[in-house]
Amino acid sequence: MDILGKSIIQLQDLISSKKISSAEVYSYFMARAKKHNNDLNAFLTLVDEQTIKHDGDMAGIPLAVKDNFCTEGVRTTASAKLLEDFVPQYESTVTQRLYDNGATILGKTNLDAWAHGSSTETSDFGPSKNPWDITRAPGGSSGGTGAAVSAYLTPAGIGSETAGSIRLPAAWCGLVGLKPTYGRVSRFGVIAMGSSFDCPGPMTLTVEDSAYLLQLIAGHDPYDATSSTEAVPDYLKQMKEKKKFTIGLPKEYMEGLDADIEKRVRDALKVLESMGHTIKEVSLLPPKYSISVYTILQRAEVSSNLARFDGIRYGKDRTHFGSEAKRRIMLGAYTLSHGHYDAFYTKAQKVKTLIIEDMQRVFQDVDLLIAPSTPVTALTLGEFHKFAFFGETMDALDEAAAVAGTPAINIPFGFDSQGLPVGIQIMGNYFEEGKILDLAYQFEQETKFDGVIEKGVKNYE
Amino acid sequence: MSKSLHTPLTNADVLHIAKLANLTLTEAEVEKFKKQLEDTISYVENLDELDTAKVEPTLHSTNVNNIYFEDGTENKRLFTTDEALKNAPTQPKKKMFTVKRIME
Repeated sequence: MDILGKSIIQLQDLISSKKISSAEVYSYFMARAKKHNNDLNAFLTLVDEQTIKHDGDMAGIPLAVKDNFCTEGVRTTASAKLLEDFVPQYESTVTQRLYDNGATILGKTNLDAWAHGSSTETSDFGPSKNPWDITRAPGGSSGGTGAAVSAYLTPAGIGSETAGSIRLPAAWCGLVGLKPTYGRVSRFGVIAMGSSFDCPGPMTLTVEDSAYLLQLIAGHDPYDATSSTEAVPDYLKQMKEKKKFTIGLPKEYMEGLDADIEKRVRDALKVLESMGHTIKEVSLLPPKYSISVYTILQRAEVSSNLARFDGIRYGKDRTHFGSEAKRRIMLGAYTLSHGHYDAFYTKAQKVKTLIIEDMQRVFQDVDLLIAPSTPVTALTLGEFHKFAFFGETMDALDEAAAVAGTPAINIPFGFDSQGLPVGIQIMGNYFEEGKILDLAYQFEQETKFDGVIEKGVKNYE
Repeated sequence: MSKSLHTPLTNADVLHIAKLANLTLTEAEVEKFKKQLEDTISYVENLDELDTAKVEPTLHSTNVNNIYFEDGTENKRLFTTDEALKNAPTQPKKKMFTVKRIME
C-alpha cells in the first residue's frame, strides 16, 4: 500500500485498522531515508536494526530527532566534531516521552554545529540540502529535521528553537513548525545553547500532527527546573474549536521583505478575513531591538554553556570548536566580563522586559499576531556570506517571540516566483498554543496551504 | 555604552577575552574576531536608543522561581562509575580523563 505523504494520525489509523503493519511502516521510512540521505545529508545517524514496539499510539511510527537531543546509547553530536564520539548515558525527556508512547527514532538529524546558525552550513558534518532544490539550504538550525520531513523520509520530526531554528527551516522546507512557550516542553537532555530561550518543538506535515506531538512532549519535568507546572490542555480539542479571532498585523514586520513574501502574507490576511476573522494593524517594537537583545543574551549563555566542554567530561578539548562556536563564545565572554556586564548583559535583560511588555500590550487588543516567518525564501548554499549578520537577519522576525518566550507556529502558504515555499507565522501569548493551532488548522482546512505539503512529498515520490 | 567607550578593540583585548574563555586563537583568528566583535558590539549598541532607566531586568520569561529538589527524592539520574566514564578517551589510558598536573 502506498503511504506517501500520510500524516502520523493517518498512519496510526492504517496501523490500527491493520491495513499496514507497524514493521512495514518502519521499513518503508528506513528504505526512503537510506535512499535519499546521500543527496540531502538530513541524517547524521540512522538507527538501524531496532526493535519496533507494538504498544502505544506511536507504535511503529518513526521520527527524525535533531542531533542535539541526548539519546541513550545513540551517538549525539550537536553536529560538532568535539562531540563526534559522544554516546549519551541518558535519555532526553522529549525522546523518553516519545519512546513511552511507542515511537521509534529513525535517526538523528543534522543541524548547525551546537545549533549556532540558520542554514546548517556551520555543521561540522557538512550542510543539509533543501529538498525543494538541493543547491539551496534547508534553513536552520533544525535543517536536517526540516529536510527529512519535507522529503518524507520520516512522517514528522523534532527540532529545537532558540530563535527561529524551528520556524525558519519549516518555512524554507514548506512545513508546519511549532515553537512552544518557553518552559512548555522540557529542555532536559537537550545540548544547551541559550538556556533561557531553548524550546523543543514538532516539525510536521499537518497542524493536527503538530498538536498531537506537542501533547506528547509538553508538560512539567522535575529534571528541568525551568519547565512550567502550568496544566497541559487538550491541544487536539482546542485545535478544533473554530474560534473567530482578532488577528494583529505588526506593521514593523512587513518591512524589508521579498515582494513575493509580502504578497503571500497579504493574500493570507484576505483569506482569514473572508473566513470571518478580524484583522487589525498593530505596532510592535522594531525587530532590530530583539536582534540586539537576543545577540547579547544568547552569546552570553553560549559562552557559559560551552564552558563545560573542557576536555575533562567529554573527551575532546576546546581546540575542536569550529569558528562559529568560538566567535559566539568570544562575544559572550566579552559582554559578561568585568566592566561590560551592566552595559550589555543587564541592559539586554532590561530591554527583554520592554519586549515582553510590548507583546503583552498588543495581546490586550488582539488574540493572535500574524507575520512572515522569514524575510526571504530559501537561499542557495554559500549565499550567506553576503550577509554581515546572516542568522540575525534571517531570524529577525522570529526573535521577539524567542526573547519574550511566547509561542509561534510557521505554516506554509504557497510559493514565491521561483517555486520555493513561503512561510507565515502565527504568534500567540504565553501558553496559548491552543489558539495558534486552532487558527492554523482553520487556515489549513480552508487553503490546504496552497498545495505546498502535497507538492513537497511528491518531489520525492 | 557609547562607541568611544567599547570600540575599537585592541589585540590585547581579544587575547584577554580568549584567555577568559579558555580558547587558544591563531593570529589570524585574533584579527578576524576583533573585527567581528567590533561589528557586533556596534550593532547591539542600538539598545542605547531605548530608555531603560526605570525598567527592571527580566531573568526568566515565564517567571518560574525557587525550584527545589526535595530531600530524600531518589535521584534516578545518578551514574555508576562505569557509566560516567563511558565517554572518556581511550588514549593515553582507558576509562580515564587525563588532565594537566596542577601540583608539583
